[in-house]
Amino acid sequence: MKAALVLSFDSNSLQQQAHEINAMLNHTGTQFSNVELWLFYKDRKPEFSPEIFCPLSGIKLIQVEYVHLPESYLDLLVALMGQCPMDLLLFTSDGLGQELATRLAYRLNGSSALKVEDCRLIRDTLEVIKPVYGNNLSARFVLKSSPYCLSVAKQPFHPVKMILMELLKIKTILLNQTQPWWVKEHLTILDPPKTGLSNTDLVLVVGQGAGNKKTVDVLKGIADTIGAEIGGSRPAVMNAWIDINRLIGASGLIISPKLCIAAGVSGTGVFSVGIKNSRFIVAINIDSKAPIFQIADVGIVGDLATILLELEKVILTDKNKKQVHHIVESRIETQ
Amino acid sequence: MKIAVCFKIIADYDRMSEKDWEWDDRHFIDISFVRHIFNCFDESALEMTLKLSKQLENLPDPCELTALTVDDEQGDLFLKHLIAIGFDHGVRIQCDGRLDMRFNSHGISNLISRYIRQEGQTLVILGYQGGDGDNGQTGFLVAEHLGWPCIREVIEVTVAESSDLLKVKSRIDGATLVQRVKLPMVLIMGHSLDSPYLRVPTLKQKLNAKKKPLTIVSSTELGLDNDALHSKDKTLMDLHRHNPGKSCVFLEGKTAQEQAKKLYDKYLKQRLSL
Amino acid sequence: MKLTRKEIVDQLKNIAGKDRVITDEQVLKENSHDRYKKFETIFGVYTNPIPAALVKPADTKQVSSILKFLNKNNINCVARTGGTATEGGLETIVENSVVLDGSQMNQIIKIDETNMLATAQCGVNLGELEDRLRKQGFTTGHSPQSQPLANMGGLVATRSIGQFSTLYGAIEDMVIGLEAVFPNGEITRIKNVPRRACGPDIRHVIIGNEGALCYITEVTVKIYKYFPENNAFLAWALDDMKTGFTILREVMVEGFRPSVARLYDAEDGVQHSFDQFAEDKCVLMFMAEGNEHVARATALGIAEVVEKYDGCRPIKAKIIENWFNHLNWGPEKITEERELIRKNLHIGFTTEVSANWDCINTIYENALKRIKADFPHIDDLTMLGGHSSHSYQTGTNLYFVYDYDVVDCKPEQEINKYHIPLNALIVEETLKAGGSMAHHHGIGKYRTQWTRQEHGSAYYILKGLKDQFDPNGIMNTGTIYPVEPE
Ligand SMILES: Cc1cc2nc3c(=O)[nH]c(=O)nc-3n(C[C@H](O)[C@H](O)[C@H](O)COP(=O)(O)OP(=O)(O)OC[C@H]3O[C@@H](n4cnc5c(N)ncnc54)[C@H](O)[C@@H]3O)c2cc1C
Ligand SMILES: Cc1cc2nc3c(=O)[nH]c(=O)nc-3n(C[C@H](O)[C@H](O)[C@H](O)COP(=O)(O)OP(=O)(O)OC[C@H]3O[C@@H](n4cnc5c(N)ncnc54)[C@H](O)[C@@H]3O)c2cc1C
Repeated sequence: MKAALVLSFDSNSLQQQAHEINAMLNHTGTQFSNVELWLFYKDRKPEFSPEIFCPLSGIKLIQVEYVHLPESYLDLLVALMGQCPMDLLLFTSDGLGQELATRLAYRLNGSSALKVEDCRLIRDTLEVIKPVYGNNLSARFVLKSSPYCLSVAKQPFHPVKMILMELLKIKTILLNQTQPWWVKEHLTILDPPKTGLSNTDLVLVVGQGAGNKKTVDVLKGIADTIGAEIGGSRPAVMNAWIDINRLIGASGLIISPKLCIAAGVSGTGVFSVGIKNSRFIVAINIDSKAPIFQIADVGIVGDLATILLELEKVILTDKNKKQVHHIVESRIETQ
Repeated sequence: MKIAVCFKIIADYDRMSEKDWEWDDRHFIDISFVRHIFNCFDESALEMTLKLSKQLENLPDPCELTALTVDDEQGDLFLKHLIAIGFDHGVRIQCDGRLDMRFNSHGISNLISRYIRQEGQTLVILGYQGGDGDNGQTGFLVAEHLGWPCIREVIEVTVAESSDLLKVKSRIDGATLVQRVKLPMVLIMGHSLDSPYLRVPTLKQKLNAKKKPLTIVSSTELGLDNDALHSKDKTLMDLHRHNPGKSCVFLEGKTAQEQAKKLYDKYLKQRLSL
Repeated sequence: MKLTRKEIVDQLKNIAGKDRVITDEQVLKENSHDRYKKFETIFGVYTNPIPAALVKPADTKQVSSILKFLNKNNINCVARTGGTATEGGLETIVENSVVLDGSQMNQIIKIDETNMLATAQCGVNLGELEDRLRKQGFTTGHSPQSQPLANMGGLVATRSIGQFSTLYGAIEDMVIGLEAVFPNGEITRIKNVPRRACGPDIRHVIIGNEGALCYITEVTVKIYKYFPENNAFLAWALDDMKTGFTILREVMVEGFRPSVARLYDAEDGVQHSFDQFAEDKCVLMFMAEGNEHVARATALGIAEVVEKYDGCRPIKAKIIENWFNHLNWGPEKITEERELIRKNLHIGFTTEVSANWDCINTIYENALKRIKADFPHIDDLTMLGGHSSHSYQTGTNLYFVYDYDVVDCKPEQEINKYHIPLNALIVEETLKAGGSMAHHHGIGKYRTQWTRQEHGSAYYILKGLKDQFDPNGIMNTGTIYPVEPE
C-alpha cells in the first residue's frame, strides 16, 4: 500500500499538523510499501520539513500559486495522482485538509472521511474510526474504494521538530496553474500572534455559566494572577465575552494542559473533546449533575466566580510574589 | 439572485442523558423523544442569508430565498418557521425511509445539487458541520457536484457593488481572507459572531406562513433511485460510546473559601509549582 | 429631617459593620429593579432611583436593628433574597431606599427527620436545600422553575408555587413556622406545630407579604419522602383548551392528586417544542408520583378519565419526561435569555391569574381576544398563548405568555409600550369574569391599581395589616398597596 502525507509548508501550524499525521501513522499498524511526503509551498522552496516518524520513500515539493484557493491544490493533486497514484492520502485536520480530502476523493472516485482518529487496513479495505452524534459516540466505518482520502483528527498540541530534508529524495513539482475566474480581488488579514493556549500548563475555560461579560473580565484577571490562559465554550465566544481564537472544543482548539479548570461549562460532547486530554481536570459548576463532572478529576459544586476569587486569594497568600513568577517562568520554558 | 440555504435539524444532544445513548441492530439511536433544533452553524447561515437579502432588496435583481432540507416530515415545521421569517420557498427532499442517509454526504449532496441545478440558484449556503453523522462534507460535495467554487469557514457575506459580486470574509489558516467573488458559488458558514441566532417570526408572519405550501420533492423525482443513493463511499460497522472511566472527587466545604483552599492544597499546589 | 445618603450609609455601617454595606454604583443599580424591567436594564438603562445602600445582614438581630433605624428615619426598605422577582417587587421607587438583602443568612439550621421538618434561614437557596434533603431521601416538594435561583425568604414572601403543587401544595401549605422582624424591630417567632385552633392562622400575615409588612428571617417547612423511581408521566394531544379544562376538572374532582397537571395551548406549546410532537394541538400532561401504590393508582385513574374524551391522542411519556427534566431555569438560561434579548430586541413576559372552573375558559378566551382586538402593537407580537399549571378542587390557574419584538422604542419605553398594557388587559379580563389577578408571582408594583378591586370589601382587612404593622409605610412602598396620593 502506498501512502502520501499532504502538508503545506507555509501553514502556521505545520509542525502540529505533522504531529497529528504522525499520530495517525502510529495508530494504523499498517505496513506501507511506500510513504511520500507531499509538501506544498508558495514562494521559497523549503529546505526543512517537519519530522515524520516513518521512513519516507520520497518528498515532493509542490509549488502552489493561489495559496488561498483550495481549487488550486485540488488541480495539482489530481495531476499528481495521475503521475504517481497512491492508495492512501492523509490530510491535515484543519479546514483545508478536510476540504481537500473530500473533494479529491470525489474527483478520483475514492472514499473519504474526516476527523479520523484511527485507521487500519483489514484485508483489502480500510477501516476508520471517527466521532459521530456530536462527539457523543464514535463510529467504525469501512471505506469502500481507494484512493482513501482522510483528514486526521485534531490532537493535543505537540509540534514535531523541523529537520533538514534529505536532498536525494526531493523532487520538485511545477505544474501549470490557471487563474481562478471567480475571484476578482482578495486580501489576507493576518491574525494577531497566536494565543499561548495550546501549549500552556494551566488553562481556565469559561462557559455560559459565567453569566456576563463583566464576570468574565474578572475571571480574566484571575487567570492572569494565577498564570493561566483563558479559553471559552461556544456560547462564551458567541456572546463576545472571549475571543473566537480561544474557542475550545470540536470546532475550536483541542488542549491538553497539565491542569485545566472548567468553570460554568455543562460539558457536552463537542466541548469535552477539547479538554479531555488534559492531565488533570477541575470542574466548577453549580449543578452537581452537569456532565462536565464525568470527565473531571476534581469537582466543586458552587458559583464559579465566588470559588475562583477565593482560589485566587489562596494562591496569592500562600505564594509570595517570586513563587508566582516561578509558575509563569516554567510555563515559558516549556513553550 | 436565487439563493438556497441548506440546513439540517438535529436532536438537541445536550438534552440526552447517559442512558439514552443506546442503539438498535441497525445502529439507530432513538432520538425521537428529544426536541430537535437547527444545527447552530446552519442557524447562522440562515440568519446571515436573511441579512444579505435585506441588502439586496433595493437592487434591480431582488433575492429569491429557498430553504432546503433533506429530511422526513419532521423538517416541515422548521421550513414553515423559515418561511415565516422571510424565506420565499421551503423545500424538503424526501428519501425512502429505508435508506440510512446519516453518513451519506454523497447522497445528500447529490440530491441538493440536482435540485439546485433544476431551479437555477446561483448561490448555495450551508453550515459547516453537524448532524448525526458529523460528516462535515456536504458543502464540499455540493460544490463538486455542481462544479462550482466553494469558500469554507465563511464568517461574513455582504453585497459588493453589483448583485452578482459578493464580498466574502472567511477564515483560513492563521488569517482572515476577504474576497470579492463572482457567482455561482457555494459558501460554507463557520462561526459567525454577526448572526449567531435566527430571528423570531411575529404572529402575523406565522399565520401567513401557514397558508404557504411547502415543496416536497422525492428523491426519485430528482432522478435518483435508492440504488443511486446507496453509499458507495463507506459502510458503518459499529458504534461505540466512550466511558471516561473517571470518578470525580467532589470537594465539600462549608464556605467557598474552604473549598478553594482544599482544591489548592490537595490538588493544585503540587501541579502548579513544577 | 430626612437623613442624607451619606448619613444613611454611615449609620448602616455602624449597625452592620462596613463590609456588609455595599455602595458600589453598579451593584446598587442592579439592585434597583427586578425582571419586570429586564429589557431596559439589559441595555444599561436604570430608571428607578438608585438605592442609598445594599445591606447584607448577618443575623436576625442585625435585621432588627436595621429596620428599627429605617423606621425611625422614614427610610424605605426593600427586602430581597434571591432577586428573581418578576412583578416589580424589588424596584426601589423611593429616593434613598435601602435594600435589605438576606442572601448571606444562608444556613440550613435543622433537618428534623422525626417530625419531618426543615428549618432554613431566609437566604438559603431552595435548590441547595432540596439537594441536601434528597441526599437523605427527602424533598420539600417545592419546585418553582426558579428553584436554582430563588431563596427561602423570597419564596415565602411571594406566596410562590412549584411545579408539583397539585400534590404537595403551594408554599403556604408547606410553611409550618416562621421567624419575622417587623419595622419597629420586633422579632416574632411562630412555633412549629402540626395544627392548632388558637385564633386566626397568623402565618398568613407573613406569607405573601412581599416585604410590605415585615422581613422574613427564618422558615420551617415540612418535608416529604422522595420516590423519584415511581414517577410516571402521561400526556395527550387535544384540539382545544376548553376540553382540556374539563378534563383537568374531572381529574381533580375525582380526587386524583398528580404532582403535575398541566395544559398548554398550541401557541405556548411551541415554546416548548411540543409542536414537534403534536402540531397545532393543545397538550395535556400529568405526572404521578409518591409511594409506589399511590403513584400507580393515580396514573391508571387519570388515564381512565382522559380516555373517555374523544380526540385525545396519547403522546409518548418519554417526550414529556425529557422536556420536564430540562424545565428549570438556572443562571445560564437567564444569560442565554439576556443575550437573545440584546441581539434580537425580542423579549417575553408572563401574567399569571386564577379562577374557578366555571369561568376559567372564558378568561382564557376573552383575554386573548381582547389583546388581539385592543392592543395597538399587536403586529409586534411573536407569541401569545398560555397554559394552566396548578389545579385545585375548585379551579385552576392560567399563565399567559406573550413575546414581542421591541420596535421603534427606547429601552426605557418598552414597559409602557408593551408590558404594562398587555399585563393590564389580562388583569382586567380576569377580574371582570370573577378570577384573581395574581396566582403566584405576587402583586408587586404593577398590579396595585387593582388591589382594592381584587379584594373588594375585604380590602379593609388587608389595609388594616399595613396600618398596624407598618404605620410609617417604610416597607417596600408601592408593593401590594397602591401609593396613596399625599
Ligand atoms: C456542530 C456543533 C459544533 C459545536 N462545537 C462546539 C465547540 O467546539 N465548543 C463548544 O463549547 N460548543 C460547541 N457546540 C455547542 C455545544 O453543543 C453546547 O451548546 C455548548 O458547548 C454549551 O456551552 P456551555 O457549557 O458554556 O453552556 P451551557 O450548556 O449553557 O452550560 C452552562 C453551565 O454553567 C453552569 N452554571 C451556571 N451558572 C453558574 C455559576 N454561577 N457558577 C458555576 N456554574 C454555573 C450551569 O449549571 C451549566 O452546566 C457545538 C454545537 C454544534 C451543533
Ligand atoms: C425563571 C423564573 C422562573 C420562575 N418560576 C416561578 C415558579 O415556578 N413559581 C413561582 O411561584 N414563582 C416563580 N418565579 C418568580 C420568583 O422566582 C418567585 O417569586 C420567588 O419566590 C422569588 O424568590 P427570591 O428569593 O428570588 O425573592 P426576591 O426576588 O429577592 O424577592 C421577591 C419578593 O419578596 C420580597 N422579599 C424577598 N425576601 C424577603 C424577606 N426575607 N422578607 C420579606 N420579603 C422578602 C421582595 O421584596 C420581593 O417583593 C420565577 C421567576 C423566574 C425568574
